[in-house]
Amino acid sequence: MEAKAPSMMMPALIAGGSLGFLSGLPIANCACCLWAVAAGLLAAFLYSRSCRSAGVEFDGGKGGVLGLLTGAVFGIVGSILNSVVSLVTGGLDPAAMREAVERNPMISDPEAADQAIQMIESVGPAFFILVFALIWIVAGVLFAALGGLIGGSVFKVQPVPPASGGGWSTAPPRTDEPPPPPPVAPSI
Amino acid sequence: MTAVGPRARLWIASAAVASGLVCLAVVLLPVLERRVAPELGWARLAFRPACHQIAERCLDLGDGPLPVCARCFGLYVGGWLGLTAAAVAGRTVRPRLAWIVIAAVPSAVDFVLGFTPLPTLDDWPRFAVAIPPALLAGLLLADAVADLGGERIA
Repeated sequence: MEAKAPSMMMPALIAGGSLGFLSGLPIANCACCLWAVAAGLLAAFLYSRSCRSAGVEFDGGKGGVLGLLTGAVFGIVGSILNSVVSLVTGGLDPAAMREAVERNPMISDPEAADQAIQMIESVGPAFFILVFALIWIVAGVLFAALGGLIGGSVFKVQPVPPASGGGWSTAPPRTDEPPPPPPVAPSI
Repeated sequence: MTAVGPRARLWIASAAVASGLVCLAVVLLPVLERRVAPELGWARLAFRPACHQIAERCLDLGDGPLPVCARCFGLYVGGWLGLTAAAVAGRTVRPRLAWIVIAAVPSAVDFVLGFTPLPTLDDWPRFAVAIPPALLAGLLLADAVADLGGERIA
């Protein structure tokens, strides 16, 4: 009989929730993609331990699915926290965003900068909260799936092969007889 | 080392092509932005969730900064190399996690130094030291993709 696979929900919640929370903090969000990859890896590690104790196979395919689930949790937790922090600290204020666009050396084309500024001023902060949340969740799912795939390969659990003989041990039967005496060298 | 069947190899090759396209997009975006259509600057936002995009930390190949920093681009290129190596060889290997950790030490030290007044690596060395850990991760990714793809030969 095949052992029942453990639930993926708990490792996904633990890994996605904790690392999503960390990534949403303003002091720690400098390596956002690595947080999501780490969440997938951590979930794979936790799930592999459950699989090992349950005697169930765990490989890259399952790791990828686990990573998707972890990424969703990661994205939701991180985006909520980041939105709250942005609202509290005034990061979504149109004037602050306008200044950020004007100072951003990545936007080299003045027309593109004007377009961005016009768009920022025409829509409210709620729009940006939604867009950032969506991007955060999509990126979280993608990168955590990557981490889950890699974790599935790193922490791979091979299924235990069923012992032959109808479930009985294949070891030689135990006897209560004493072991035979050691061979004695023939006397000359 | 495990040989993979044609179907699993096709999956790995597809992943290698996809990651190669991402690397190509990173390289081509500044070129297209400067020479063809300045409006393509908006496409830089697609890379924004995964990178801080500080222009001084991005490689410049002559047409403006790449849309991701040198370290991120090294990670992308390393991953692509790992996947491509597995696809070309038709085999997968599973490097130990410790190897990746060791390979990531130079990047990690440089990352930490970035928060201190001490000097950090320039863009090209930063790009170069990011490649080895990503290459190993790419090999692991190829192994996982082969699991998704199905059959193993040995």
